[in-house]
Amino acid sequence: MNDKIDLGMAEDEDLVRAKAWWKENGSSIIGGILIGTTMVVGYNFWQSYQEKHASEVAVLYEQYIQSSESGPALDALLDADDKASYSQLARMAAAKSAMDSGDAEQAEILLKAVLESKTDEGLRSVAALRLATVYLANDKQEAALNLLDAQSDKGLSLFQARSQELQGDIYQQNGDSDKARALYSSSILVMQQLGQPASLIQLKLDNL
Amino acid sequence: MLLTIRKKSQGWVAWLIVIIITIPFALFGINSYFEGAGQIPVATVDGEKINAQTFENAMEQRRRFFRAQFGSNFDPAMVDNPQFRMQVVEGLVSNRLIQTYAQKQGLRLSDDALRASIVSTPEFQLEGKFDEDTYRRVVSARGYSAEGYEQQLRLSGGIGQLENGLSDSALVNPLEVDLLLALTLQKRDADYTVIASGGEVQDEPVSDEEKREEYANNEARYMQDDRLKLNYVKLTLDDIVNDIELDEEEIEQAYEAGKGQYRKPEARIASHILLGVPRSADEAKRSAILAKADALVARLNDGEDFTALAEEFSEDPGSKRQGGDLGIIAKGQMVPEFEEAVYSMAQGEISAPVKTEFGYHIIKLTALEKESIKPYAEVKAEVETAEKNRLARTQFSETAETFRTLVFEEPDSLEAAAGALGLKVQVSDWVTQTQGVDDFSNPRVRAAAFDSAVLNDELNSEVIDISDEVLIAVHKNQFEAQHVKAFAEVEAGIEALIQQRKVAEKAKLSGEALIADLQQGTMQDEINFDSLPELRSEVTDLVQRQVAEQVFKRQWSSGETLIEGFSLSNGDYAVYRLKGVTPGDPAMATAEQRSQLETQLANRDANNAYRLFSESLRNSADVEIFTSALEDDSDTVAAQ
Repeated sequence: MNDKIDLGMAEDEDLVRAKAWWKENGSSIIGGILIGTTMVVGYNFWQSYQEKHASEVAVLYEQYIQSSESGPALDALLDADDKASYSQLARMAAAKSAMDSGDAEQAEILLKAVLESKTDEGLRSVAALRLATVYLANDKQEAALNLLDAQSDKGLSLFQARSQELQGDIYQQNGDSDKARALYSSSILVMQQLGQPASLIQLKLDNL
Repeated sequence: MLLTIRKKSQGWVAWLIVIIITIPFALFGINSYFEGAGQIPVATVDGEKINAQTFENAMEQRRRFFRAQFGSNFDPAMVDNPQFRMQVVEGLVSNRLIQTYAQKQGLRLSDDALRASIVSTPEFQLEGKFDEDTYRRVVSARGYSAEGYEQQLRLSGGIGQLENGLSDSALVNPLEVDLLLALTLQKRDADYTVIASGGEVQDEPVSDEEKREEYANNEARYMQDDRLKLNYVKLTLDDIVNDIELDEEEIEQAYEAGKGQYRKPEARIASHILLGVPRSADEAKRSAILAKADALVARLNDGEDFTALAEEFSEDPGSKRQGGDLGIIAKGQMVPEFEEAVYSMAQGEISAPVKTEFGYHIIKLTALEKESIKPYAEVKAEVETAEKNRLARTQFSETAETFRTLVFEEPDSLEAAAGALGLKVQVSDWVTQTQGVDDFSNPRVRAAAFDSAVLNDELNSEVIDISDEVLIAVHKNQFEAQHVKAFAEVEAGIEALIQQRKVAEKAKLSGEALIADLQQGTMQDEINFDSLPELRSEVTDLVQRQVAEQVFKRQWSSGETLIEGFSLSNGDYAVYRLKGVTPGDPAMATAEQRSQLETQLANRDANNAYRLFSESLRNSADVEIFTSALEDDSDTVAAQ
């Protein structure tokens, strides 16, 4: 009998204790679950938003590539997301069109925008070399040298080789054969290590 | 520990724990917990594995490609070597990086473009139109669900956009174009003379010490690589052909059965009279010539002799002396208008004037032999050979099977296989891993010979198909490890080498003397100089190329004549005089030269852009390649 009463007592005690515990912590746990759920829902929502946004940007890029009247299509893409990789590709394409129609200034603006965008190193390196090319075509050797100098520590061997060749072109044009020779030679060396053709650089070097 | 958690699980800690537990499910879904970890990776890219299966598939793809390219010359070592394996892994890594990049940056094909791409794919079409059922069937046959396939296509389309975006925006610096054009158009006024190696090589005395010294100092040059002598058994289709005897009746039967093959094609023999019309001829001239042709046709139709008129009037120098006879006119041999006329004429007919690019032809079909079947007597020998070959081929595949089985089941010697098939076990010359003669010039045979099973375990190789008519199996006869060849063995070679060196040295000395004479103007004899083409692109032979390489490198200042020399690759000595440099003028370049160079430079920039982009991805990624996993792969390949 005693046992039974004890048991009943114990049950009651447990219940009481559980209730007390719940009273103290219940709100924390419910809060936790609520916050957790909100985060999951929020994350999913955010993801689907991102997905939708990315789709829109992809469509705008396709429209830009296919458009004959490229100005407005480019603006629409840049308005939607000027940080996207698509936008940098579009800017580079626009820079090429600008160069083809003889508008080096416009090409400069576009490539600079890629360089200053927070896009990845790969696209920025490509844009940097192309910007230097535009500078050279536009007779802005000083600007080209400064740019290549500022971008020199990327640790990308192909970038280094191309950069050296461009600098070599500048020094060659200014009659500084010694510097040009050193730059071309080292560019050829890197190109060969990369298994890339270097015959045009060799041609320039031979002439010095 | 548990106690602390229990205590702390009141208040904010409880919140935190629940949140932390929830996050992984939100981010990765429940799948991550169940994915197998069994696959061995060959590399990891930012923690993601590239597993051995993917790698092996890529290798197999390369192997198939090379096999298709090189046919029976395919050497497994082209593909199964450490450098190549490394290249393949690097390629996979690079692909993975670009995929991840495209995914992260949201590069993808839009719905419209995706639809357009699928609808226009021929494999998904039925009678030229897109068909939904066909699409689903083809896609599932490739192991995709439609959704999965579309996802894949979307992504690869995005990667394509990236590649095209990088290459289509390639820039060319017009000043660089001008610079390079100027360099290619640069002219150099130079001539050269070659001083042949001084005297007869074999007359040069070489002392014993000189030879010993060369031998002692250049061990690597006189190294004999690992080499093998091999026993081998060769089964060829010819062996079987020669064993087959056919009697008259069998040959005749074969002729009857295959009669259709022994056709004599239709033969049309024609003559013509050509009245040439120059390209520049105007309408009046043209019709005058036509009128003349018409008049000739009229005379022929009146019964005048074709050969006589052809001899008199034809302007085709090749045939006029034969009375215009052109012999058999096979299809595809003449211009189409001519052929059409000849093939629509009856025997003896004379055509109206036929106009071709050469002028007007009056054609006479002098003979027409209908297609016929050659009589038995004429083709008997041909039939016999063909029939023997046919029978031999059937027998060959059976014999080959027996050959393979015996070589495999009696692995300790080739005698059993040879005996059973009536073949001989032969012994080869020395064969190294890279060189062998006759059947051993085939790299697959050498690879089999140096396989560990043959080399170390002294077992038969497997049977190798040198072609579909020649099979071979090898067994080790004798092995010799790498060693420096004995002096006596290489003495003659060393002597020749030193002689050549001495002779080249003499040529150099006389060349240098010539240069000195030329520079001081104290030349006694007249020396013949050949002039070098002015443009580097016009240089033709090997000597000129070597001279040009030097000449176009030299700095030259106005007024001077540079006289210099160098040793040619064959030991002769070249002396050249550089007398002038005319800078190239880019304005003189043809439109074609310019556009060619522009394209070349644009392609270079496009290619560089893509490589640079890949290199950058590779640089900022955490890539680990497990070389040991690659080596394991090579073992399993070799064992297969």
